[in-house]
Amino acid sequence: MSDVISVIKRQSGLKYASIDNDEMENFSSDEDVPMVDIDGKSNGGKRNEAAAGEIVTPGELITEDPIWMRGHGTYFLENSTYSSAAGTISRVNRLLSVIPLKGRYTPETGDHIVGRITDVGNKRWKVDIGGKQHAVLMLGSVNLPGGILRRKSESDELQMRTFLKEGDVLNAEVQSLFQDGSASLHTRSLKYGKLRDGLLIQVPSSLVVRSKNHTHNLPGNVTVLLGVNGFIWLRKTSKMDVARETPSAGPASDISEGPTGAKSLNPTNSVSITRLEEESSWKIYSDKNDPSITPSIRQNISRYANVIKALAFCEIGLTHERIVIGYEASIAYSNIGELIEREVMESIGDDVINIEKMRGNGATE
Amino acid sequence: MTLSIAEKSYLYDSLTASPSIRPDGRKPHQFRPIEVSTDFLPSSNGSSRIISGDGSECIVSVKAKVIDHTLSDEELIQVDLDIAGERTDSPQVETLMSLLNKVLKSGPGFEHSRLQLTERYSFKIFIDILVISSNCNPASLISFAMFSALNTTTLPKLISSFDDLKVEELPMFDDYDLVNLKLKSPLVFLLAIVGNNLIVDPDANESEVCDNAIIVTWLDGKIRSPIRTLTLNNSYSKGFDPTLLQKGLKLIEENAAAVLTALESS
Amino acid sequence: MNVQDRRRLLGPSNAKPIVFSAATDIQSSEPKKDESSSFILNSGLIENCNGSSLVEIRDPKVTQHQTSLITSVYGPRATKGSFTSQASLSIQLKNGSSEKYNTTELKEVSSFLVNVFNSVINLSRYPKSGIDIFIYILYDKVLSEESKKSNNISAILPYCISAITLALINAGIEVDDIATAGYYKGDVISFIKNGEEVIGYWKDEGNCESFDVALEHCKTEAQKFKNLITTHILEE
Repeated sequence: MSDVISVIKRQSGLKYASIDNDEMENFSSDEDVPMVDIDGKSNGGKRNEAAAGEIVTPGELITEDPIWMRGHGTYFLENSTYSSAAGTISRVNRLLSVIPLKGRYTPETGDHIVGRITDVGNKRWKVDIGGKQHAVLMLGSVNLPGGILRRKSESDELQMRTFLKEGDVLNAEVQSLFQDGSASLHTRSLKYGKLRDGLLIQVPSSLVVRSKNHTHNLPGNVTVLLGVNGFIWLRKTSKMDVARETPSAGPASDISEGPTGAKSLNPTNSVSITRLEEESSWKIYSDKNDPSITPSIRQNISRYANVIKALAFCEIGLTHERIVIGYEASIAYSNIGELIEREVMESIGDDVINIEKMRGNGATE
Repeated sequence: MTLSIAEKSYLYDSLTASPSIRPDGRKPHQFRPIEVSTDFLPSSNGSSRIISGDGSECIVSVKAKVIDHTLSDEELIQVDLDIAGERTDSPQVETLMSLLNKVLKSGPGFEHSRLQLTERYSFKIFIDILVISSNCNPASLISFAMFSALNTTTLPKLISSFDDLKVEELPMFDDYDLVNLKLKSPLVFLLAIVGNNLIVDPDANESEVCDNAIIVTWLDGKIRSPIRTLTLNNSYSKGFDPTLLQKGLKLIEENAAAVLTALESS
Repeated sequence: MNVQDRRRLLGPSNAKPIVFSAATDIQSSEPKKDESSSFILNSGLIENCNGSSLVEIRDPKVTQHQTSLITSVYGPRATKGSFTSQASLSIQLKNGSSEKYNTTELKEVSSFLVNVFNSVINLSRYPKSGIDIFIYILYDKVLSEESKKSNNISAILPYCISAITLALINAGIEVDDIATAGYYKGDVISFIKNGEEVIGYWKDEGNCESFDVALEHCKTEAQKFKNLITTHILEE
């Protein structure tokens, strides 16, 4: 096979569902029955109720018990609760909801997300986070140049586009949710803010699991930011990333120096007040990339991007370990461009699962 | 889609590096993988559906009609294009349609005389293209789909005589037998110029930062007209060295045959 | 100095800006005639727009065409809607009474010209504004016998490019360089920077065997147009 293009032949373009006449008759005779359980087990009073964690389809009966409060993905009809989405059942106290298997990202307070500015408005930015609605980032929820102790003034309102403008990518935390489910973000921490030195890729949000840490330094001088919303930023590891990763109690000789060269007065604390002020200069809103991104780092970023896309293609949830395993497995392909071929993506997915199984066994011993 | 300034400059620096580093690691001459399925529309003479790795998708249908070519000298192949979400009179659709009609114009190596049935009658081919989704310029994808569709098009077999100028009779066709048209249509390639580098088949992000781009038509081992430059974005557009144009044409000449074989074998 | 305020609605559409003094008109209506090729350039003829040009070509030896083009430039003027960091350019070509080209083809040429001038006009200088250019093909006649049938639009492309360049300069819109193009056997190549940079390549006919020759021919022709435009501007 040539390395110029790969063309996959599909057996048949569209699948025609073959519906037998018998089946058709069955359907029509069942028309009067209000609900047919997918298994067709029972139609009467003793229906199987779906248990928590079970997968249900739209229209499927979840429970006939009226004590449950109906959450998202359910509807109520004649004292029974039915599912309105395809997904798993979740029961929290007395709240019953169906979490869809697929769908747009639903923000939750505390989520670490990556988003893109779509609009600059009155004292706020609109941010595309891949959800149902655009999130809002208030001018008051960002660090302004000049340190956190500074009051925001009218001149800040007028020059909002000099901080963040349309198209800019940033990471942020979901601060709170509005009544309609849209999110309000904040970037009041040094780990949040405008993103540089790399590129963005998008995967389904269901593949990124919420965890304590979403920023990981990877081998090859690359740092990944796994946004819970499925937006993933890959960048060159900055000095700050190195400082963050190093345990704060460890030897602090090389971490006390911030990216600006400022000596931290308190090396045991990863973010000191002095550095915060240094960091909050105009530099945090700069559009200039680090000039020292070497070609090999760029290649690594491309490789990681392809590995993550391959994992997403195989519908494997993304974790720090899996990305590293996938990266190591991908080294076998010296040409990064090969990683976009379907077979290669599948084999990387298999490798990751197998290696994880082996290591997982080792860990339990 | 808008990219941030930092993303654009990262991409631009990567692509202008020597050798260029594409965001998905492809070689400069490497295309994105595509999936092709053919002959699935039961009421068309030929059809194909093509899906690119980035989710771009287009469907091509080929239909034929018998016309009396002595009455008019209209082109025997007519292309109609529909891009989902675009008005039919939008500049993008009209530009692409005009280009595709020119690509399929009769010329050496692609003679419309193949469509002639008898002295008097010809098949007129109607190609309907529907671009379901596209993230970047779909010209190349469409031409691949057209190629696959025309390559698998079957037309009814003529059973009446070829010489019908004197006898007034309509062409007669066999009730069952179909003949494969085997018309090899030209392929269209999109080539982006970034700095001093040339890359084929730019994706949406690469299109955002390239200086300029060339649409090249290729048939049977040779570059042919139409050839066009076009800009895929308006922030990075600028002129380029004339020698790059020659290099680009050569790059296509070298790799087009591989694409052709891949498409034919599918 | 143009005192017209482009950021606001300017009243009725037929309102004439007061900025164009009669003196410049008299000056520019003096047609610039190049003896060798009878290529006539004229600018600032239309008063109701920001810049305009008239290009007339009558030369059976060098070109295949006898053509008149009127170009008018409106803008940069404010656009509605969301913020854009740079001006958006639109070009429209219109058939004269002869209705020679079909609209689809004209649209394709228009978008090609937009592509060419995207690389020339300093668009980032005019945020949140639009520049609209209209070209009216007043008269276009093919002189050479063999290309009469093909109805080829390529041959008038270099004139369109020269006409737009002249109109843009007349409108005072910032451009990087004087963009011109040359035509040779179906190839149209547009240049800036004395032929060192290509900004557009259009080919509708034939195979691509003699690209080097075409490049050289187009370069000299483009240079010729450029010289004509420069002398015209200086004389004005």
